[in-house]
Amino acid sequence: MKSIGIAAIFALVWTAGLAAQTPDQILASVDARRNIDNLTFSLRITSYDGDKETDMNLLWGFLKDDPDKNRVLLFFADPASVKGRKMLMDGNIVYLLFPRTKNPIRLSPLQVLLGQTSNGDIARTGFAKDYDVASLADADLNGTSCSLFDLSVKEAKKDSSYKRIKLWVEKSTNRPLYAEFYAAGDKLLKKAFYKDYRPALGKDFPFVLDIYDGEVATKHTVMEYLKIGTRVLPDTAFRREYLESWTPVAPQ
Amino acid sequence: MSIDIFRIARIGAMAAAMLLAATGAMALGGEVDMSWLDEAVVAHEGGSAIQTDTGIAMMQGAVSHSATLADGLSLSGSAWALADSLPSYDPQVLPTNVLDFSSRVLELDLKWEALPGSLVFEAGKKIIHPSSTFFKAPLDIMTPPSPAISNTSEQSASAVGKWEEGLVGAGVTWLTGPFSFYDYVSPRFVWSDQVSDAMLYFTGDQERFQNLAKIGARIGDTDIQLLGLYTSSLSGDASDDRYAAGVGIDSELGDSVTVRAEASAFNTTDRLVASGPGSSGYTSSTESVSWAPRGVLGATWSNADELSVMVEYYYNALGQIGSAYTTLIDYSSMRAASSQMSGAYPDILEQYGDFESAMHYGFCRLAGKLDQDVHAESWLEINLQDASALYGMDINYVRPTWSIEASLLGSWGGRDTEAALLFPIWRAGIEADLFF
Repeated sequence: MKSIGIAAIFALVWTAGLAAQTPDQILASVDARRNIDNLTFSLRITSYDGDKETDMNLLWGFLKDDPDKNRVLLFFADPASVKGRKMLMDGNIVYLLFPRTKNPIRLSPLQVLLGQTSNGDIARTGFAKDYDVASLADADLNGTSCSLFDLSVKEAKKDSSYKRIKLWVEKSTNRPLYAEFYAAGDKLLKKAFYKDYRPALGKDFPFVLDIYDGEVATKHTVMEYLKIGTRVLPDTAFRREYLESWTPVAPQ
Repeated sequence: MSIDIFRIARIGAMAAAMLLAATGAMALGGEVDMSWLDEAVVAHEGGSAIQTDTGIAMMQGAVSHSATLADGLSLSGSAWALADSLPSYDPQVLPTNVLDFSSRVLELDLKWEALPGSLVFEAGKKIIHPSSTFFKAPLDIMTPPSPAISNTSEQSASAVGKWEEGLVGAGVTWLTGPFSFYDYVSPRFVWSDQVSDAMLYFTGDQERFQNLAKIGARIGDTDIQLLGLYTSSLSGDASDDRYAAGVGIDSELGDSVTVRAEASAFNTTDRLVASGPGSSGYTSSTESVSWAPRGVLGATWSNADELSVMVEYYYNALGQIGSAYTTLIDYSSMRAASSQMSGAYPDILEQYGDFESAMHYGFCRLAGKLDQDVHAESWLEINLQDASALYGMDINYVRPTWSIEASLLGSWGGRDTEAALLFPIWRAGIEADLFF
């Protein structure tokens, strides 16, 4: 009976603490439940038009989660037509190195990576770093009780492709379930479903992200993490000059 | 005879490696391209000019492999082979054989990451490409080995060929804080004919010692690189050694525009110049030019639908302008029109290279995706002094393991222009590529 009482007190204190949090702090705690720093991954990106598979790519990568920006090293492992390409995303700056060329070229942030997947979709590990909570409300998503975050891009991140995001987070688990991404002028660019949550590396990680085109409902791209792990790489590994020296190996 | 056996054995080994790679028996990757080209050029015979059409068939391929030997130690390499029906690319020169075979190791790089992500040592054979511009590459200042693999008969808008050959040497990369330091040393070796024949499939002679140093940094969103090159003279006389300096920047403007600028110059460069016509007709002579800069200023606009527009301006102080340029073109026209002159006078345009004899050039390229698997591009290179141009367009259907591409290239301009003297009237091609 004593232990139940202590648990009840702890629950009360935790709930009171949550209630005391600002919406931005709540968003940060949502991110923290699933963010894995120094993530290594094998990622399959499959694009569909209706039920027809139109494209498939297998990527190996490293993600470094920094306080102000995320950095990602990517290697295109499959199919053969793109095999050997290497990419570095350093915040909003993207470099691509083709096989047999030696100096990475810069890509504009607006260029789409694969299908409906942008560079930001792979680099994004959370929302609080780049967005402020404009409003927070209760909402229902297909019968699931959710918190609906209306996010606006921070002034310092105004170069981001998405100026506004609407994010549905399951109340009982704090899992993001669905998001809508808008460009300037509130044009809907894409819709994303976060699926297949499983415990991994001490976090609650969504292994599948299904991204739909904002205009053409039949077009969607599935990002599926096949393997994940952690490996600490120095900051200098996420530099343009390292891309050529980098010898990728399949994540174990 | 022994050379032929070497050659056949190596071609056989290359074919076997490609076959094994294609069947997945080895962890290799690569590409095999089969292309057929038809081109029309102006040929001069007996004082008259006629248009000739020539068909060229070729197959070339490369296999690449990368292996981790130990933690931080890796070996990567690629080898290339070509079967070509017209290796001279000159319809007036009959090839010796129905098909001419060539093969070469393009790269073989042993790499050791002494400090992962920070300090990398490497040795072997490596392509060095500091330039990030497209139409011309002012920062690619290292001299390739001789005879380097050329761009075969591909005529793309890119300054960088698809199949390039590296330089034998050793290098170090050090990344610290916001800076990177890179140094690559390529030794001089000129062997006897016998040794050169034996080494032919690995590397040609490297006639100069070269040392390239590069410092890179990023300030804000702008990448900056500074280059210095020392290269020994061909003669071994230290007073003829050459030095070069270069600078390049890459940055972006907003979400959709990337910009770049780079320039380089050698302390001295020899060039052939034409003079005349005088009492004895045209003459040519060699002159030295000091610190003549070459530079490119360019930008690319792109959108989320994979449409891109690229423009570049090329300034070339090694080229000619005004009356010197007019004389050069007149000299070259006279030379092209007379087979007697061709033999007696040096080809000055060839010395400069494609679209390099003038000072001012422009380039633009439009590329986009027509469908999920269909990409198209068109481009225009223009000599801003005589308004002659080279243009091209191609359409490419790409699947995961193969692609097929149709291309068309043409030159535009009057008879006495650089484009008319250098390029075919038109060239049409079909290329099928297999990836594995």
